[in-house]
Amino acid sequence: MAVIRQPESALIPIPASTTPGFQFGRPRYLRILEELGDTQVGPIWVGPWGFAAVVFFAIGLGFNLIPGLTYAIQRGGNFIRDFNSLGVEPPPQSAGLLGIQTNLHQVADTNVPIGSHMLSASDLTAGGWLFNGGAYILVTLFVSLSILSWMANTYVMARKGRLHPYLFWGLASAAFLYFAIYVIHPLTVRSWADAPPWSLQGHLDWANSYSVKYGNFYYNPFHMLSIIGLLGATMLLGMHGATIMATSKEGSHHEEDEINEAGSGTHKSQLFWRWTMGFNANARTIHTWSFYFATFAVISGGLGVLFSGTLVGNWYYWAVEHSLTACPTLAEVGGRAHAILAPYQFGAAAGHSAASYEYAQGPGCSGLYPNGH
Amino acid sequence: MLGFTGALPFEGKYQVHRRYLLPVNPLSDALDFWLGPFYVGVWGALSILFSFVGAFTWIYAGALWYPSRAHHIGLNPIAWYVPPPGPDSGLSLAPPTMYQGGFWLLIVLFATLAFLFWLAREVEICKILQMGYHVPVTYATAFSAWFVLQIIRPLILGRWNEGFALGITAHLDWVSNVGYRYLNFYYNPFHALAIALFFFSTMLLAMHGSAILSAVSRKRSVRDVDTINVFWRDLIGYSIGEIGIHKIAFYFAIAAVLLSDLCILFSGWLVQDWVSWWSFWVNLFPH
Repeated sequence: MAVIRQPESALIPIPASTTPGFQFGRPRYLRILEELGDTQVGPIWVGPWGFAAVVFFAIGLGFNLIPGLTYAIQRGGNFIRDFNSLGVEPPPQSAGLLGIQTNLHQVADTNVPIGSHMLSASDLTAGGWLFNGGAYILVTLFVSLSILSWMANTYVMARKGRLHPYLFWGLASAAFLYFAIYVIHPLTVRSWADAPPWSLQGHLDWANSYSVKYGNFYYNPFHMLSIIGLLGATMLLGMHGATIMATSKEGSHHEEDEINEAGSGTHKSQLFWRWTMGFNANARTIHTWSFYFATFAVISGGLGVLFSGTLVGNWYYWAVEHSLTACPTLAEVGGRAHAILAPYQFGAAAGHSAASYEYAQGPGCSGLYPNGH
Repeated sequence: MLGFTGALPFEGKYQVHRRYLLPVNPLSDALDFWLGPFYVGVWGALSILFSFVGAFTWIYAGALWYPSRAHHIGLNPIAWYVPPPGPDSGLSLAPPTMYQGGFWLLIVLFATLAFLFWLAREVEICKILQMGYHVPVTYATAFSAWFVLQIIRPLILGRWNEGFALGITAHLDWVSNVGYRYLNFYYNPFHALAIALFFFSTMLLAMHGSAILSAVSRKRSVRDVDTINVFWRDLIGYSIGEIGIHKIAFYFAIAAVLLSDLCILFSGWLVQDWVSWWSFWVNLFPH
């Protein structure tokens, strides 16, 4: 195995003085990590962006926990029992993007123009603005700021080590999915209520209801691509991790060196896949595949969210219109019609042509062909 | 022509013959050769044979049958499907007609054999190259998802009908329906952990890919693992190192699939309703 080590003098890091911040802590060696990987923990670089990310995150977490804890105490709840649902929910659509519940009687009494609202002390009590969606908006704000700060941190740290900022772009892709779900889509439909609550159980319920609201996300082609990306990325991770583990006794895990000059471990890794599936990456290109597959998963997921409710209101209709699926007949679904069609209860039947009549008999398919095609 | 660009320069010295998984097979010697970039071998030949037979059966059944039932779909293979035997057929290996589960049973059998032969082929190639068996282990884990969904769970529940229909949108329908059948699959803790691991695996892949690419894409020609270690320590205070990242990659990808196996295996067998399943948690606390 050829190990190419550049002399220390060839390393030209950007002088620490030009990177804002300071190195914090000393290297510590934890033997418990021996089986996992390197044992060295620290030092860490404390810079303004990383610091800001942590602070913003802490503030967001605080706004997430305070209303929930307040309610838990007031209602005699149990913090541990209710941990799953602890958090804040978005304001209802009627409250608008500022989360202001307009009490029309109050408006008439006090002659306050609709939409104008001055923050007052009563907003910070239970029942006020903060506890009825206001905190939700603040959590989203501070988590967004935290993510943006952390992105800046990855960029600055890459620059400090003279590394190309690939990680910045990877994180930016994930942030795109986050902003699509939590910010851009709610703005396009003018409602925070379309975004996930900030709680464990709440975001699972959101995933469920969001899918149903837009006609079952399994028919969303961008969701399909995103799942392919997610499962495919896991498969690639398994393939790559397994390949390197299987050949690491011949040094294939020294990937920067192997890219320079491949040794027998990398040769075997390449030949394994070439002989198995007729194609192989090399020590460098497997990481290109990895990076783009993982980013593809989140970018297509974000697009799927953004197109829902804007370009396409119901992905099941969309799939039927584009012949990706047929509305099942009652005979086909048999006694399980209700279970199968539960997500597709669309309401009153619209007119449909005789040609499609046979397929419009399923309980959920009434009105499926409103244009007669 | 990806992959068909002639032998790699070092390929010849690794092409060792007669390192068989099962040397007793009389065809072993006959099929012990390379075809273009592929190693053939007994297991490769068998796997390709069953793959083609299974794929042809699926196309035959899907193309002939599905459009006749829903003519407006036309010839869109995305909508084709081959459904499993009906719930009344139980575990019968002779459903009423080929179109009522017979084709499904055949295709599942062919696919399962093709997957198993492919697994044997991977083991054999590992033997030829004298490397560890980590890739076949990973592949076997992926195969376990198919085996649990299409064979073990139907056997436990007593009807082939529990398997998913073979088709692109059809299997998505199955995933959707199963989720609602057990009320809310998002409340299935194994499902939740599996999804978390899938997301985490995707993140790990992006982190590892970007770390290596960022190091070798620098304008300077210096490529050194220490640069990456320092980068991760600067960022999060810890760098797992070049062997550690592949170790956790291997384990996380496998764990994601194994938890997926459990999440569907328990549904319908041990648990009928994942929402009220959580009442155990509430009942832990005094009322």
